[in-house]
This record gives sequence, structure tokens and C-alpha cells, in this order.
Amino acid sequence: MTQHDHNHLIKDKMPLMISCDQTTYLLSKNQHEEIGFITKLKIKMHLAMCVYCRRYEKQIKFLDKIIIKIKSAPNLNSFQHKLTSEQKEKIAESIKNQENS
Amino acid sequence: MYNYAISRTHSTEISEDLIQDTFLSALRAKDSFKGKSTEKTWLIAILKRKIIDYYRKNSRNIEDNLIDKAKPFKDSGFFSGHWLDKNAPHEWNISDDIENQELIKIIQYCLSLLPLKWASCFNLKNLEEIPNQEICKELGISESNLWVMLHRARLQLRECLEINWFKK
Repeated sequence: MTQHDHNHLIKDKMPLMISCDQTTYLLSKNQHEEIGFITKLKIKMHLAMCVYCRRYEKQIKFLDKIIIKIKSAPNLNSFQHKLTSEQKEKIAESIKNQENS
Repeated sequence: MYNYAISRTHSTEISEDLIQDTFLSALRAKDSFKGKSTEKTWLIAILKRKIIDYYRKNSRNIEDNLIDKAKPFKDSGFFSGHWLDKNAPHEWNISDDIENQELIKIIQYCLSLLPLKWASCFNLKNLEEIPNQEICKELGISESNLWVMLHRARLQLRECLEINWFKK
């Protein structure tokens, strides 16, 4: 990924009308930090016109909710993996080896 | 600990290695353990460090040659920057899926498909909650590159989830 390919996303001044690429980029960024009033307005304008980006916004919020769930609960059922005794042996063995060396 | 590692790296093999490393480091540093926290907390803290190291190592090994491979937008013409027809988001029928274990499995699967560099960014930012500056330092990237990769990772996750969950 070269810097050049993404210049349209990161340059300071975006035109009043922004593209779907820029909108979705800014929506991601907005999740983590303050992006400024004017930029938010540009996003709103785009969302008002674009059904795909409206869907994207809704879906990405849903996705983020699940990510938060994964983060906060590493012991969910779907992660109930147990090391087998064989795996444990293997780990113990290599620890011993490295300790002695 | 094993579960923690898997939830962060999405791979059983890598998790095994990380656990092994963690115990080794813990043994070597056992004198510095002052009993202020429980052993488990202490070990998890070491494991976290190992996970960051793992991502850093990989970001050095693998040069990124994925030039916009998964970009779902048109890149030329009057509608440049607009959704490609085949990639545009479809309506999702979101119900109380969020509690659904199957869905979480699918997301795990989608996370494991992300290009390594994007996954590093995404996991460090969203799961480990490491500050931007530190992520950039560890992975050797600029901050604007970090934003772009986080953005691309989300785009791909969304599409993967749509294909594997909502289209069924």
C-alpha cells in the first residue's frame, strides 16, 4: 500500500461533496477520534444522498458492538479451547530445554 | 490464557507459541513478581506484551504488497470513489444476533482472513486498545497509514460478514 494511493483520503481539504470511499473512511476515523464539525457535516450530506453508505454506517456500528463483545469476554463459549495434555507436555518440554541451555 | 491468546490472534498454533514464550519470560523474571497482583493478572500482562511483539515481528517480515486488492470502490471515471456494484452493502436483517455464538465464530473467521498488517492494526487498536502513537511505533507506519489500514480492515470485515452471514 503506497502513500500515493490514499492521498485522496488523508489530505486536509476534502471537497464539499465527498465520495463513498472518503465517507466510509471518515466514519471509521470518527469512531476513534474527533473529526471536526465541518467534516461531520460533509458526512451527513453524503449520507443523506447515499443509501449504501447509510447501510454501511449502520452495519459498521453493529460490527463494532460485536468486536467490543469479543474484547470484553475472551471466555465466550466459542473460545473455549483447552490445551490438550499433549500440547501442555510439549510446552513444558521446550521450556525445560530452554531453561537449561 | 490460551483462550485469551486465541481471542487476540485467531490462531491456535500462534497461541501455543505465545503461551510458551510467556511462561519462559515469567520464569526468568519471577523475582520481579512482587505479589501485588494475582499470578494470573501478571501472566496475562506478559502475554499481552508477547502479542504486541508478535504483531511487530510480523509487520517487519511481511512487506505489504496488497495495493488496494480489496478496495470495493471504483477507482476511475466520473463515479470514482463510489461503491462498486458488486461490493455495495446490501440490507442486513439485524435482529438479536449479537448474542449469537455462531455469528461471533464467523467474525473470528473473518478476522483471521484479514491481511496481516491490517489485522495487526485492527487488533492492536480495537482489542488491545493501544494508543495510536505506540501502534505506529511498533509497526513502523505513519498515523495516516494506520487510519487507512483500519478503514480497509473494516471494509473487508463488513463484506466478509455480509457474504458469510447475512446472505445465507
